[in-house]
Parts: sequence; structure tokens; C-alpha cells
Amino acid sequence: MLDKRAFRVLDILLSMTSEGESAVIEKTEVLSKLEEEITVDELDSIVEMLALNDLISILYSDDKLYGIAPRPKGRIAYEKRQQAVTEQTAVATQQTSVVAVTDAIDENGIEIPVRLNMKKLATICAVSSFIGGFFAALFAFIIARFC
Amino acid sequence: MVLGKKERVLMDVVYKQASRSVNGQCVLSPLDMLSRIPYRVDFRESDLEETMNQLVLDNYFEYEKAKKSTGDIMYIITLKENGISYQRDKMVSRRKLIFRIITTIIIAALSFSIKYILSAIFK
Repeated sequence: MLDKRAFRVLDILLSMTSEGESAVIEKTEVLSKLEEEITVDELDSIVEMLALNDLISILYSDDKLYGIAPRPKGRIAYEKRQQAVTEQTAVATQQTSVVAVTDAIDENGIEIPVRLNMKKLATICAVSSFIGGFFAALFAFIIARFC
Repeated sequence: MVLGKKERVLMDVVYKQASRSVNGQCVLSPLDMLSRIPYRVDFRESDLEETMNQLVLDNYFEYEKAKKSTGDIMYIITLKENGISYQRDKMVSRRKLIFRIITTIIIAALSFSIKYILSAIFK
């Protein structure tokens, strides 16, 4: 199963291709665009995994370069991720009280958001604590009265 | 396979680069290839793809066009059967040629000397 890092590498590789054409990409370029630091060997294994999952095909590989061609499945995953990112940005700007907290990703690498509405959460907490306090006071009254 | 002059010269360039890697692959730009062709050969930029396609048809290599981030075109070349044995085939055909030349010289010398041999026998 591919993780978030693998899908980020896929995004970087496919952003350098145009209209499904093959591309020659320098490894240092990919490493510089990736937010986290990884070694060249780790990058090689991620790229191999992407190829095994039929997202890209590796035409050429040496110490410095990759020659890759995007596969249809990889192209679809990339476009879906780009669309999801655009939608998430649009929704986030509209609802400022919405927080998306997620660790889950689907088969296309799109994050599955768990949306928490802070106002709703605060209301629920207030009502729950009121009800809890009410019943605690009621029991305390009954015990004091009849015991 | 008998190659033309342009095909031979281009194949020399491709073979030299591709044979350096284990899997017989290399990445070359059109400029890289043209700069490695000797000046005495009249090889234009427009001849490049045509000659490459002819070598592809003869099963020397296959190639894929790719773009770099700068927009430059690169060729990803993978040697095929005839390409891998190109150097060996060249040596074998050279040996054959030398052998044929020596054989021709011997036969010519023998033909010339038959007159004297016959006259010596029937003297």
C-alpha cells in the first residue's frame, strides 16, 4: 500500500510531465521539491513502488536521472488529488471554523477528511456538562433529603 | 546487416554511450549525438530522426522521446539484439573482409604463376 510520501513523489514526477509525455527528471530536482529529507536510495525504492503499482513506468534510471512515463492509472490518481486539493482549499476558505484532521488516505492518495465543526463541538460539550451537572445535583439532593 | 555511412556513424555514437551501462541504455540529446559525429561526415539535424528510425527498423535499438524540465528533448535509447552485438559484428565483418582480400591475392598470384608452372612441366 502506498503512503502519503509516495503520492507526493508521484505528484512531483507527474507535474514535470506534460500531457502524458515521457520526461527525463533529475533526482536532485525531485529531492529538492519534496518537503521532507530522504536519501536517494529511499527515493529509488519509492519510484520502484510507484512503477510496481502501475502508476508510472520507468524507462531509464541511473545515478542522476529518471526517465519516466505516466501510466493512465497514475494520471487519474494525480488529477483526482489535484481536484481534491482545490476543493479542500475552497471549502476551508468558506468555513473558517472547520478543522480537517486526518491520517487516512484512499487508493488514489486523497486524504479522507474527518470534519469537525468547532461550534457544534462546543455546543455538545456545554449541553453534556449541563446535563451531567444537573443529574449530579439531583442525586446529591435525593441522598441528602432521604438518607 | 550492411549499414549506410550515416547509419554506421550514428550507431557508433549510440553504441559507445549505451554500452557503458549494464542494461544497454543511455539518455542523449540531439545536440550530444550531433557533436559526437565527425565533421567529415555530412550529417544534418534533419537526418537524425530519419537515421534513428532506420536503425530501429533494423532492430539495433529502440528509443523514446522525452522532455526535460527545461523543455529540451532527450532520447532514451535502449539497445536491442543487433545493437548489442554491433561491435562484435563489426569485428567479424572486418575479419571476413581481410580473409577475402588475402584469398583474392593468393588466387590472383596462383593464376599468374600457372603459365610458368605449366611451361616448366612441359619443357
